[in-house]
Amino acid sequence: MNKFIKQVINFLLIIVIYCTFTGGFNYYHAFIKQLKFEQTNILIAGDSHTQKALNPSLFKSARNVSQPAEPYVITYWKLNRIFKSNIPDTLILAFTHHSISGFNDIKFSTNKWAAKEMFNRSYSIERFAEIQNDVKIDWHLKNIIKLKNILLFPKTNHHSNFIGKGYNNFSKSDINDFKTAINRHFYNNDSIYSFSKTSIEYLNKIIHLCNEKNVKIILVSPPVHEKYFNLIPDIYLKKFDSLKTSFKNQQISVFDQSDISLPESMYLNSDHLNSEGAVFFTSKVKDYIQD
Amino acid sequence: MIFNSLEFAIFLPLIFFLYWFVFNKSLKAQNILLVVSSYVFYGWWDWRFLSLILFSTLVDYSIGLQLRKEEVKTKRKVLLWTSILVNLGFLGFFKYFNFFLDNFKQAFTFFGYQIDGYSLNIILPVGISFYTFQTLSYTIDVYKRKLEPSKDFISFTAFVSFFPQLVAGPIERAVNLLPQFYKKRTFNYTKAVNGLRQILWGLFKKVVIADNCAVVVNKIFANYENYNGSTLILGAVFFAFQIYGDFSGYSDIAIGTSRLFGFDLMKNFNFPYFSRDIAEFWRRWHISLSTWFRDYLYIPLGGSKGGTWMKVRNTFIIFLVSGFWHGANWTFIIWGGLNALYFLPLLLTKRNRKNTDEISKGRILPSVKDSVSILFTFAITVLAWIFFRADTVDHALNYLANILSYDLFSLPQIAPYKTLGLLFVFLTIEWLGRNNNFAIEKFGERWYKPLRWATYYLLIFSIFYFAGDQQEFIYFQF
Repeated sequence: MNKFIKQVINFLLIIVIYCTFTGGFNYYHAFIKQLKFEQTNILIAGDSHTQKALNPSLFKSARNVSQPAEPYVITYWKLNRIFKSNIPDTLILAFTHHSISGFNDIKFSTNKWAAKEMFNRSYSIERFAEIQNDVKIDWHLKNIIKLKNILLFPKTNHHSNFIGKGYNNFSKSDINDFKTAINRHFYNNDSIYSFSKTSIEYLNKIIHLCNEKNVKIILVSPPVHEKYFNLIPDIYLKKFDSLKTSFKNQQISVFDQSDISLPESMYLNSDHLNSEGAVFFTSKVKDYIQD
Repeated sequence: MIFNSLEFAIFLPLIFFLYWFVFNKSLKAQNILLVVSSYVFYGWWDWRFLSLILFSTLVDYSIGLQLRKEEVKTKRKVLLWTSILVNLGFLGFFKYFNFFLDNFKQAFTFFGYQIDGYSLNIILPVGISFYTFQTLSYTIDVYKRKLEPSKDFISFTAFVSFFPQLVAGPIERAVNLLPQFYKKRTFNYTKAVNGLRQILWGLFKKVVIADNCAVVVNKIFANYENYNGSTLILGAVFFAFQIYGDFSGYSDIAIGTSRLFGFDLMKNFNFPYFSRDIAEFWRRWHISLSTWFRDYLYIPLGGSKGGTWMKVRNTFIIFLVSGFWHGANWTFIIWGGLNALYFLPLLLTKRNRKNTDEISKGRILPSVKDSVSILFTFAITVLAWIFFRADTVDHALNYLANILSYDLFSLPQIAPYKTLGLLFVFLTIEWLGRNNNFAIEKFGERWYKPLRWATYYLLIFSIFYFAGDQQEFIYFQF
């Protein structure tokens, strides 16, 4: 028995030493080390809609840190981290009808792909304990992903997970996915998702954070194809409009272009602009900022 | 509690420590510890079902004691049937009640009668089919006087609820496992190290192979209408590896864990996908269930002693019952029936015991003849797995129809290169270790220790690195 225990301890000791080394190294790079982030005047954040619609190279000094499917919760954690080292003049934030959909609440549990992706991006900035009462979280998956990122390999690029690759787009166009996109964003089987209280709460938190840091915030809704727009459930149109009014009353700029008509050639798919559309929309946003 | 969980990673060393260092003075204390830990292990899912296991234990223990005293044949028979009815009664209620009700309703509707009856919202207790069969084997063996009835309630309770194999087998025979609870266990270094090695390999099979295959399989089976024939074949082949990795991985962890406590469980899988015919496949797949049916159903029915008709009838009975054992769904019955059909030509031509020797003995690669036989056996097995995996018979038939669509010979629409690479490595290791109890039993045995350990570290690393989405063990539902 003694020999067995000794061998097991020796075997595990090597693992413990390795994990202590990688864990310490990664902990420093993920949580302590200051974020390397070039100073920019304009920061663009949000989900794939702003990622595709706003080309930062067309601004004087801008950076797009939007990532596909990103809910406000993660955007808030991300901005908190970025603002510790870099405070821009202006934050352009995606504000679309589906940004407030209950669809955002299932991204940390039910939808395995999304959960994996969200946990992978947010492990170094997350505060899931804060939202655990309102949103279902797959804790097992979250912990596994965090441990995998911290203990397996020593690496230095942890921050790139939540910063993302920024703007990228294509010139192709196919808007035939409008029904699928609508179903994904607003419907849970046949019933309409209720609004995401957490998303609305975190949108307000982002606004509050910007006020605190003296950052001007502009909420933007990039154009979506009319086939998509016409299928957005009424309750979402109304809720969106009421939030828009409320924000405007608080002197927050809202640039809503969701229902403008653009040629089909400017859409990547029914709810995203392609590179040509991005050029058009970026110039409109630039004009709006200058005004 | 599942084996690939943090809870179990804490539970196992804790029980191991208590077992060998705190309770090691007395056999009874060790057995009590095993009972308590087994009930904690099972109760982790749903403590309410512990009463079922306890009730089953009490019934079979009491009947065993009665059978010890009773000499009158009819009374002994009554006792035996009481045990069978109680055990199968629970199984029937929890597993098959809704199935029979729905089918009766459908049958009556077919003949123009409407009958009322409401399906019940019944939760299936985890592993009920496994422990029911294990306790049944005890009563039957005691009845047949192959086994002395247990007078030690603690040992008997530990035998029924032994946590490593409680929820998904191997389904142990009382003759093999129960006496191990009577004897003082002594720690055996080689056995324990071997146990750890088997646990490691089981985890690799489950977490790396089965769970990664499951991601592809779930996607393809859920949207089979949208995929071409070659993608559907890929889905079915991946399911074959998913279920093998999942179930044999569980068995490996169960056997390995038992070894740490000084117990020997029976082998449950013997590299079934290297089988050269379907008879050999069934000697290598879920051995504890196949031999259970052989001993307690096939042989009592007359086995292969009678004429051709008798052999065919008995073969179909055990395959159909085996299918039904897996679940209350026609898909499982058809799966069993298909396997019986595969088996039939071998039985009728008396070639069912042709391949009992080692596969490609002494060769690194199989001969052309062996390769063809192995591939053919695997292909027909995969075909049957489609029924096993499908939700309904219609689902399976449509899946098969879509395989035979015009685009069967086009490239698959999904290219899971990572999983294919993992499968290649896995099959290579399994092939090289095919003559052992499990693939890595003797892997690197003569290597320099640091190199051998490096291999184990690599396996542990790959378990974490390639871990797919955690999936329930498939056989828990049975």
